[in-house]
Amino acid sequence: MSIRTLIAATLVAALAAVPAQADTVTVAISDFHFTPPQTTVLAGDTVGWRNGSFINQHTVTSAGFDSGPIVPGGGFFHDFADPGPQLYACSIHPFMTGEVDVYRLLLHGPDRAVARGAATAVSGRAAAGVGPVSIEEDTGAGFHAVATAHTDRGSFRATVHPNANASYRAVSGTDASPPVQVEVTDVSQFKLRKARGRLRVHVDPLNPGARVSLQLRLRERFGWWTVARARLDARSSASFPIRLRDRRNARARVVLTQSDGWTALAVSDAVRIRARRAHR
Amino acid sequence: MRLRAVAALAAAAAIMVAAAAPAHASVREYWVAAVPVTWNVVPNGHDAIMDESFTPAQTLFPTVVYRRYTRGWKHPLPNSMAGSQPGTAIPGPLLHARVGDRILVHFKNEDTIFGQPHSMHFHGVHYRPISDGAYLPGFSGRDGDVKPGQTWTYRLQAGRDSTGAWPYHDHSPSMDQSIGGGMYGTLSILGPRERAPDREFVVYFEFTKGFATVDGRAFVGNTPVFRSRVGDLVQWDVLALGSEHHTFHVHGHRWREQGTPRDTKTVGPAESFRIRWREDAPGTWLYHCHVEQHMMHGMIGIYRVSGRRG
Repeated sequence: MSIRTLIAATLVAALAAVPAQADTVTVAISDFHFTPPQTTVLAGDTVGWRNGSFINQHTVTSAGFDSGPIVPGGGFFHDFADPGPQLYACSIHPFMTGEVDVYRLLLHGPDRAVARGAATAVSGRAAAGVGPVSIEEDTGAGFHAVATAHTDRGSFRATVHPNANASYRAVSGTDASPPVQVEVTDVSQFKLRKARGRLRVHVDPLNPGARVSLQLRLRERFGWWTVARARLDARSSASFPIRLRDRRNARARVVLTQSDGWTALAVSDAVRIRARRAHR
Repeated sequence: MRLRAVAALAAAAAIMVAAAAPAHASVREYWVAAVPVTWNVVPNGHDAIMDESFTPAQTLFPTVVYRRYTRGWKHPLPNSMAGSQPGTAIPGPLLHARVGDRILVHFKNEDTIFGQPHSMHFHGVHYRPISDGAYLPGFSGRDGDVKPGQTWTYRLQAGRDSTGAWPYHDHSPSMDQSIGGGMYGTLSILGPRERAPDREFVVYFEFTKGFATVDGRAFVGNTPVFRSRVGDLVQWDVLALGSEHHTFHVHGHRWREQGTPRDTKTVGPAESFRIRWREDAPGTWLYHCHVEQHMMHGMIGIYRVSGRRG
């Protein structure tokens, strides 16, 4: 075998060895508990147990595998190829139990409540050999498809627009991910920050594309008066130039509105803003 | 040598005269489109004087308005001139000319929400019937019935009898709906040697979404906040459309009409007048229609005069 062939073979091997988005999940063994006691993994993922006890040996034992005694500070790894639940226990301390649930599709949703109707990203992973993935929603009347996921090397993502608290799952053929819950809220939190002559606003929950207005409290307008408009960017933020007419400072607030630009969905607390230079 | 110098001077003088000529009788071109907007009659949400509140559902409506553009309708422009009210969509653009000018108004109908025909009909100026902008079945041309997506150029002449502030408005088959929705504006024409004012305020009395409005807005704070300084030459262009008469009144000020002091003047549908004074009264003043029902339903605003420029 020539050196060139050897290099080519090594490269092919290296490419083939790129993990198909496989993940390693760690479970701690301490205080006579497996933590977390339940773990969800994708078929092909690895679970590692680490014995954090100072003096006690433990085992990870199930119908399909057995670690044998794991000394304090030691560990054990097992690859899970087949979908389904795998119950395990410590054979030395049988009251210590745990569970690994293996799926061929996994889905992740937002880790906090989202604004009603907001464009919400969901993403996940598919095991090797899984075909096109669709996203299904259930708001109480059963699951139905709401989006097609874009898949790339075993990872996929899609955008959903929840109008109510809902469960989502990824589906491909007979494979389905465990459902994830997405909570919807009408309560928005504002973070306002003044910097370099601009007022920056971040709105939580994420609401990209939503319309926001900057309002000033103006005596001659007998109340709050809209002076600038913007749309929230992908990070749910926007910024407004601070322009004050005939005055050095004013009370300001930001209003999240419906698409008509006027009907208020949420209003921030008022802050005092100061013009760098008063101008007309 | 001396002769050549004289000839060169004469040529230079001729060029200067030629360059100066358009200042007296120029061609003014305006680009205007009928565009959809969502208009809020009471943006601050209340009548501050009577302490009555309104929701956007009561005050917000989709409509079509005139908007000014750069040449070829490339970029939108503010409707009003400096010293008037910024950010307005109602009334339409304040168009300026001087007696002797030719005025070309290029109009484009971009009504995508109602899909209605629109037009521009101008008061106070000279034009041929094809620039009348009024719809008359069997007689009028495209000028009075510009369909969505179409354009028309109105060719007007500011004659010796055209000095003043004049209304223009939609006179197409949709005028009944569109004028109430804000399709009107002002053509302000100066006399041949008349000085332009320092401040020009447009006050348009009309009913909008059931409110009595000045420039499409109701109640103090929402209606225009006009501003001037002591010493300014201020001009009020007062106009009305609709079906009612109004009495324009400004607090703390008087003007003369044929020698008689006045502080209130009547304006009926499609009538208009100009009032001028040299400002000498600092303070915050009310202006309003003195027909009491109109005033109570929104035809009232404030006028702020600050001290002389330092």
